[in-house]
Amino acid sequence: MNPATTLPILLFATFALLLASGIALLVWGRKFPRQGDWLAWLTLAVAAAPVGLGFAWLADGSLSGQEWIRGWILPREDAGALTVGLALDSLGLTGFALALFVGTVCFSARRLVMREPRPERIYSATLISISGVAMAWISSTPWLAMIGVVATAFGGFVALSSRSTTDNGAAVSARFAAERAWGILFAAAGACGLAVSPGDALAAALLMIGVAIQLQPFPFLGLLTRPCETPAFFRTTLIQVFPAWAAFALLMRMSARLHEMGAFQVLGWFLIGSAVLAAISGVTQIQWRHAFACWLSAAVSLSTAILAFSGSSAGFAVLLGTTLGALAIGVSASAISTGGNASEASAARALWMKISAGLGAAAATGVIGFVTVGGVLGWLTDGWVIAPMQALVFALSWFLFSALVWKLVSEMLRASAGMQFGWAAVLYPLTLTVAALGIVWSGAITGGALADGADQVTSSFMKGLFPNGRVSDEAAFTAASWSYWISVLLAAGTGIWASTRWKSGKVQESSKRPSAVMIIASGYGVDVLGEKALYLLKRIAIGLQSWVDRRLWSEAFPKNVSKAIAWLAGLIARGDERLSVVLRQGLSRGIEIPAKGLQLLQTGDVQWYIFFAVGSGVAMLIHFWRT
Amino acid sequence: MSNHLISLMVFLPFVGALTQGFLPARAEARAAAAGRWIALVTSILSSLIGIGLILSMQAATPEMQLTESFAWIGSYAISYEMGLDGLNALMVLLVSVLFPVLIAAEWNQKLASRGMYGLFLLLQTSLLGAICAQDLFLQFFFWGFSAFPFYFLIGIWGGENREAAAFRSVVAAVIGNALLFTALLLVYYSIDPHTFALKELTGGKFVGKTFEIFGQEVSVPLIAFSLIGLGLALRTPIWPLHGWFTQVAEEAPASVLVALAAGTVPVGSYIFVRLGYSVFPETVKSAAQLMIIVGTVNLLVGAICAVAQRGLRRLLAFVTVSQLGLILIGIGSLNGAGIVGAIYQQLVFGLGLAGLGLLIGLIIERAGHASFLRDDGTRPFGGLAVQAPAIAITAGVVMASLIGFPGFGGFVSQSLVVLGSYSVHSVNVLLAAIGFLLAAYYFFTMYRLVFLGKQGSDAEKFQDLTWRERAYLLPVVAALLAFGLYPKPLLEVIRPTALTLLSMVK
Repeated sequence: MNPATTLPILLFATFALLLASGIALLVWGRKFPRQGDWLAWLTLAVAAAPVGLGFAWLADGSLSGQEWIRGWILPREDAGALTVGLALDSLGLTGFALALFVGTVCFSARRLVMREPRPERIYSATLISISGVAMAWISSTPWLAMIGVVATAFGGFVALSSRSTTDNGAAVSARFAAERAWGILFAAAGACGLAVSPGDALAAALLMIGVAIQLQPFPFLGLLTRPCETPAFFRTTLIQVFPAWAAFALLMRMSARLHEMGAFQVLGWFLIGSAVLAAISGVTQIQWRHAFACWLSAAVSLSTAILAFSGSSAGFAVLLGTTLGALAIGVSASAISTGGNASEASAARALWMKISAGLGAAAATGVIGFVTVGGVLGWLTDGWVIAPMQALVFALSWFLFSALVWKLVSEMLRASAGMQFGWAAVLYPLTLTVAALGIVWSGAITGGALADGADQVTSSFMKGLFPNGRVSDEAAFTAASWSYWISVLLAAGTGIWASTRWKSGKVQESSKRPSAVMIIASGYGVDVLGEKALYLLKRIAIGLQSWVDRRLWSEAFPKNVSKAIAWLAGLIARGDERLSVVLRQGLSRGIEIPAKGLQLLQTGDVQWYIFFAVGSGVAMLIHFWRT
Repeated sequence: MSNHLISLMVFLPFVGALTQGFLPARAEARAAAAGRWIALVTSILSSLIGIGLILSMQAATPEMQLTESFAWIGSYAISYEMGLDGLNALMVLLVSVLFPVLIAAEWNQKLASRGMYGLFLLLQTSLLGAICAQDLFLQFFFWGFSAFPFYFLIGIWGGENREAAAFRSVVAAVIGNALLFTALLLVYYSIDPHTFALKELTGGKFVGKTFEIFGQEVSVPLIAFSLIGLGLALRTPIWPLHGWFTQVAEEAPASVLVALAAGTVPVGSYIFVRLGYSVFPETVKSAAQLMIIVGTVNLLVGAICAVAQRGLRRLLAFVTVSQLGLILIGIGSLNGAGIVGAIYQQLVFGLGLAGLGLLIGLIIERAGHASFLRDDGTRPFGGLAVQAPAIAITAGVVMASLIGFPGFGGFVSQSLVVLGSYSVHSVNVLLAAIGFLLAAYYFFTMYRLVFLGKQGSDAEKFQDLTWRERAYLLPVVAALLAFGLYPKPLLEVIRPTALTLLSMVK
């Protein structure tokens, strides 16, 4: 068995299985719930097999990061051919494994799933999204990754559709789908442009805009601030984290090329700006869940910005820490929000759940020990190497981002003291935060907070994923560390303090919010602008229809054509009439004169010999006149 | 036998139409049932032959294959020439999928069903003939004939204002055909010896040919190409000549609308490519920019108008106008990928519109109308995804293809057209991208109003797909998925012919 040819087949079969199972659950899951459960779990188990096999082959060296590539649209050797390829490396398999891990947590939170009006849709959405994330991470070309992005968007849509029996749920689902579709179309157009004109700035911009839309950045914050009843955990996982993972993978695989073009830094700055705006919008939110969604948008934007500035290793570390932390907070929030009576056991469970949420925030903000630290420090160090001011801007954005999550978690910690779920539910956020520990990824206890790796206890898995290590500047690292710890501590303090001052619930009742705050909270009024643009577009459409369809083709054209035909017909008819008159007159003259003569002869008024005499006389006169 | 298979494919539906037309009228119910089966069987047989012919084609050759040829009207050098190549193979596939599906969709037709089936069969014959004909006169014969079944189909089975719509459709068709025929005569008399055979007219034989009008020298290819373009633009609704089409969309039965939008429109655009690229390569080269502009305008205006629609019928009409724009951009790109994309788009856009049109038919059958938003802003449907999940999923697949999501048929053609035209016409591509974005908006808005949210008053007794409906929608949905995921075999058939035609232009 040749691993380089077997693994691609197995992987494609797994993608297909995940998708097919997801769709089968969507179609028949309601009719056959028990079988649906089995199918979902079985699919997860089967999907884990090629990942394990792949890692085993990578470990024994029989599969040394090979690439499998084929022409999809046009032959592979053609200029501009669209190819699908699989990167048979540990990074791709890690992305797949992570998606499976989070999917397993989703399925395990069964009581949470069962509270959904259409639980089978959550199962279905999870399987479809896992296949999407897996495709995006394993893909070595943008095209298969794009199919992965489509799958995650579809998964998100299916998850939202569990609640789309209400008009609001329907509006959220449709808007989510339309926005993701825009992103996909932009990205596809950009990738096509890059395929035929490598280095084209416009194409690169289209691609990056398209992929960035999957991160739900500014100006797409409006959707995050709309009422949505989907539980925070599923919303976090299926609507934000999985699509962001897929988009991140696509950008990561293309990062070398985008860096060469100088376009990636532009995206990085845009995403930092977007993260700041999202964090500010998050602060002004009335609802906790909206604020959390804004924060998560800022998290994935910052992770991608770090990818753009400091490379894959740092970006991946931050993405891992922030998203796994977010998932832990999300699952805790969903469990706590269900409430319950505060018996001794439930209070203990609630306490542990809150601790888990706190750990989630720690993982997300890069508290010492989590994988995030290394990534953020790398980013700040790179910023410091270029210019201290740049590093300060980075640190400021991290401060805002961290402050928001600490505020949200502090608010949550003060929430209900009882919990309906069992002890097993407490394990989900704990497992997620453990997965974000630095020791798991970098082998260092602090997660990379120390420059010389003095805390390294095991070999670094990250180094296996990203063999091209970073060269660190010691002085810059020290300066970056200072700015980082100050910003993290200040953020935690500010967040906790802010949670006591501007608690979401109190603000909610206040109807005296300044209009500027209202605009920020609504996603900076982009929706209003969008609605106005749409109204204008509809007016144009109605005008076009009115002028072209109705006035030109239904009124003016038939009217004028009939007029022209009537005029022509009238002209011909009049001519015909005149001709008839002339003919009739000529004919009557031609007939009447000889007829009159004959009549005169017949009646005897004129004797025929007189005619003869006159005729003879005329003939003689002509004869003599001629001679 | 193999060299008569094209004729067999073309005329089998005609024979079917005649056979079921002569069934005794005494026992009407029995005759209707027999007519229905005869129509379906002959249509399917013709389709199977068509698919068999495509499967038997050699992929890597630009040559005309499976040709048939004999003199028809010898004194005017009109011959019966048929053949298949990469340019028309996909059109045969489209028509082969389409017509059995349409007959199955009208299975429960109560009003003069035999007449309707007969007209569908005649339409199948005429479209297949127009696709396979390799003689200009023969092609015109079939193409011109295809207008008349529509007149009756709209005029008899249409809505309240069916007579007006049928009249307008036939007037547009007659004017279009007259222009086309004038061009044909111009071509015929401009070449010595006179001929209508495409293989003899191919390769820029009209370059530099002129004739005199009032002392002015006029270029034959320019005039003939313009007449052909205008004639076809009238029948394939190019904006702003689309007025008749929107009216027909409102009045025609859904299946007839499908035949028109998914059958006639792609075939019309195919004739434009065939004649333009093979007979007037120089003119195509000089008119490429204009084609791109017209295509972009169609794509944008169609999309903008679609945004304002409240009914599915008119939505389909403007989607047709918009998607046609993409074909024009591909044709005008003068690039291998662009032309291949345009040809592929003819197939997948036809299938996508067929799917959408059939769904409209199902909705009309169940609710009596296809309006998804009333004038007062309320919605008659909503929540159909709960009542009819299979319809919702089918609509999702069709929409995904029409929007151009990766993995669906529409993506392949859209990406090829963008690949082909981006390097030279990036601004147009950008404008076209706005059209795609609008498409995503109006489709998802429609989907929300019809399938999601609270159930509307007309959605309460809505039934999901029956087995018959599933059976005839399956080929369309499966084709959209298969042609999106694995386009290679079809692209290999198109590419050699497209590249050969392109070499003539360049």
